[in-house]
Amino acid sequence: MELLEVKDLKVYYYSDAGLVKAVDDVGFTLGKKQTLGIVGESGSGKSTLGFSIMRLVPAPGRIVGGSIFFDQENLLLKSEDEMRKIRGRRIGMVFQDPMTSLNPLMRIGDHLVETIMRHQTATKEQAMKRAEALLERLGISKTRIDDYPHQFSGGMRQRIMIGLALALNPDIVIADEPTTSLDVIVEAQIVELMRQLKRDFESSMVLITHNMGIVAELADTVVVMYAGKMMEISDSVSLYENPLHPYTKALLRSIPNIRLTSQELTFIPGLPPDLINPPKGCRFQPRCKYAMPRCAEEEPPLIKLETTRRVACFLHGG
Amino acid sequence: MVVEELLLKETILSVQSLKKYFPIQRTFIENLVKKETQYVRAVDDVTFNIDRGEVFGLAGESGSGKTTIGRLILRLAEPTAGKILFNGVDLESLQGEEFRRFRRKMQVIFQDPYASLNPRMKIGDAIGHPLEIHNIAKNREEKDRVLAMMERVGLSPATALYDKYPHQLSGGQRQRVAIARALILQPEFVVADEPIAMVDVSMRAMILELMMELKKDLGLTYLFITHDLATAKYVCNRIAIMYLGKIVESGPLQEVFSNPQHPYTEALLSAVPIPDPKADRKKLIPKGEIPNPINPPSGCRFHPRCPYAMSICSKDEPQLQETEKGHYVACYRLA
Amino acid sequence: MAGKIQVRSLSGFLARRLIGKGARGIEVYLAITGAVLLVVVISMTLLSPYIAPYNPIIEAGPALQPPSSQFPMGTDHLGRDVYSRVIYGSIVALEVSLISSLLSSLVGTPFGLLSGFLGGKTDRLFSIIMDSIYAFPGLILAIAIAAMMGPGVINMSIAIAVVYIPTYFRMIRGQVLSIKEELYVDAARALGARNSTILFRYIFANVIPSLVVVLSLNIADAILTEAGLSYLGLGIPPPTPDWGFDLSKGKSFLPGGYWWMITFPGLMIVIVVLGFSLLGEGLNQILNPRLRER
Repeated sequence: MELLEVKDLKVYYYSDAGLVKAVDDVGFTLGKKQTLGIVGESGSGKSTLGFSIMRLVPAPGRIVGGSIFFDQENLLLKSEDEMRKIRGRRIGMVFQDPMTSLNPLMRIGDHLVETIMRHQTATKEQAMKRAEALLERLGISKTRIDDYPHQFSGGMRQRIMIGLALALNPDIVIADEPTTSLDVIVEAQIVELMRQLKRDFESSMVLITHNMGIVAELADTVVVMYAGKMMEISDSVSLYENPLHPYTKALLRSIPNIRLTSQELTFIPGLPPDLINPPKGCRFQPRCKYAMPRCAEEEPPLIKLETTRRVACFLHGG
Repeated sequence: MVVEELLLKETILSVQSLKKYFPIQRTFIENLVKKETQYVRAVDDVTFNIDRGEVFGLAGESGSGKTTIGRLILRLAEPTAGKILFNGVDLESLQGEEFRRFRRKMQVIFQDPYASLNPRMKIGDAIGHPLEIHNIAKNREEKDRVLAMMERVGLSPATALYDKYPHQLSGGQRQRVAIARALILQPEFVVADEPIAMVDVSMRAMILELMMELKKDLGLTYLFITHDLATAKYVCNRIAIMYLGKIVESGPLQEVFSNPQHPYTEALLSAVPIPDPKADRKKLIPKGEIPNPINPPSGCRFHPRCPYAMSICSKDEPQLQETEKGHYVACYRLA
Repeated sequence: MAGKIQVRSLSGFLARRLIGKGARGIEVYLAITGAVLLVVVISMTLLSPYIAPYNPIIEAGPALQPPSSQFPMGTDHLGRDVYSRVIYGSIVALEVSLISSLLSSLVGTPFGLLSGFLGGKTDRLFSIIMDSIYAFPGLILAIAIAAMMGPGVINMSIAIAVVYIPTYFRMIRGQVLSIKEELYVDAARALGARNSTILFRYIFANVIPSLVVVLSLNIADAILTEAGLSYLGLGIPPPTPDWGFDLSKGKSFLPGGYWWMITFPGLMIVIVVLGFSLLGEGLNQILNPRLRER
């Protein structure tokens, strides 16, 4: 079994407006030292998916079905206490907004030390040494170990977040839009940092984002989500070179590539899907230019086309 | 061909030595001790011209001053020093009614499609509001023009959407409302401040295309403020790259992007993520981060991070020099 | 009458909100409960001549009778029917609280709008004046003004109104200050809108929901203050039925075991205040939704 195996996962939100099927029958695997990119736009369910792996779905959301096997154990069957031991230590998380993820009243040195000591056996001195070494690794001068979060810039705070996530050498790091609020150059620095750290710490990563550029830089495998469903899952090279699902195709053609001399950008007509009353059949069908009558009646199943590629589209069979 | 170009080029907006310094609030103690007021030098001596009919890009990261320049041009903020001339008229000289009339010719599309719409105003009323403000049309005629504009920007069916409130629309639709509202007065010049940054990826091209179509139909000129160079490449004719309140490089877009001469521009271009796993990525990542704008580095503001820094760079600020036709760079490396 | 119009617009407003948003949750029930209580009280006020069995200022039976089938809430020391007095008492309570709240809001709101919008010296001047009034303990200030002006519905209303003007001022000013920074206000300026247009259609329009909430809570407070003033003898002169006055009179008879003179007016005060408070709180939760846990 792979390090992480998600099967038929369903996460629904019981909101005032109705039942929101945020994640509907999603499954994928993640191996050791692999990076999985989960891409989609707003409302695709990608962030909910990330949170659900750690069982941190906020109310009124709930995991209503499926299984999440981490290191051969189903996380959905574990108690909250057991999950607490796993979070941070074995599965780390990096959030989008570094401003609000760090306790403003805690010096970052103390933050790091506390995290290290909570999950590993170490004396305060040992933990402090590890914290200092970690800061150096992150490109932050260790003289800043006594500074408070507000004294750092956004980019540095994000580095600290990544550092915190990796401090305990987890098996998997889940990064939810880690660079979205950062400037371009800082983003490049963080991506480079993540690449190096992944290599050195040998962790796997789940990268959740709408930025197809950094997914291309970091991910081995890519899952494309739309309206809570998986449209396509593929190895990165094949996905970008030869996208199979009409949504993936359209998405890639709507992103400007600065290296190309001339580009014809397209867009996807129509409106984002209603997750409370999703369209019948394939959820992308109302906006798909290849839609056939069958697409509005039945939901296309995920079909395996090659060893590393699966698509949910009647154009490719099923 | 060259003569034609010269004849056709007409400056619609001229920014001259523009400065905007924001004073930092002093604490009570600092006031007592009469400590010198510190300033954030958001815009520090910026000069450029925009030609009628072009899309002029203003690109930079946070703290570059690009958004502040947009606000100064729209006169949502007053400059600390410098001049802004629109169609040759100094904006500061306009007062009262005259000034309100000038507003008709210059409009804005903001970044946040939700925050820029009054949550208590139906979108039909919001789009028609400029017509009311400037007494151009009322009631029946106003409504007809609004419906026509809504159809034009793709808010269809207009009669159904007319009475909706912003929170009932999607991000892309709201931005279309903002565009309709800005263009219903048929202005000459539009400041677009990151108009697609908060729109879903798959809808961005639609908004850009709409903006360009309308540009052609109405003969508009755009100031396109953005941090996304890939998008800038898609729509801009000329571009100015800003860093910490100054323009470091400017010129025709194709020229600047294919032949960047300022180290910061080089770095910026190489940092843009590429949606292609097999692309060869050599990132020239400058060390460190954007410094505090309260105390910018001496001399060339980029020098602490520049791989080519020489001793002169920390002493004197380099001025913009023309290297190729229309291509300006502020860097000592070229000497 | 002022009360009736308020009810219609409130329920209409609620209905639009509920149907439009399909809102569920405790705040809606708060608001509905409050609204129902108020509808009951207000109808009672309006229908008082028809539902009160006796004339409240004339002797109707023997004095100090406990509650019975003839006198459901007993009689007071002058033989008047307590039930009729309680019903008629709502007239004064609602009149005074509604008039004073209306006055406070009509004075406090414009000052708050101007102060927040204009800023600078105007703001400082108004803020100092308002803060000084606000610094006075409400009841004491009301007592002082009422004592100066003498008894009567209008005078009481004015006295109470003055106390609450700073509340509206502060709240409106605070809202204006934060809304002023919103992007859509910048957008309006960029369109060339006049300051007056911006102030009314953009800023005030977004302040109204909070205004409604404060109004509701203010009325609740004003009823208590009115009762307090009458209790101290500074309110409506007898024999006009008034809950506060009856409370005060009833107090002296309590040691003798005559509990009904004080209990029923007291209960009415509680119910009406509760009604407006629930309505205000419920509206507040609906209009400013906070994160909810399930």
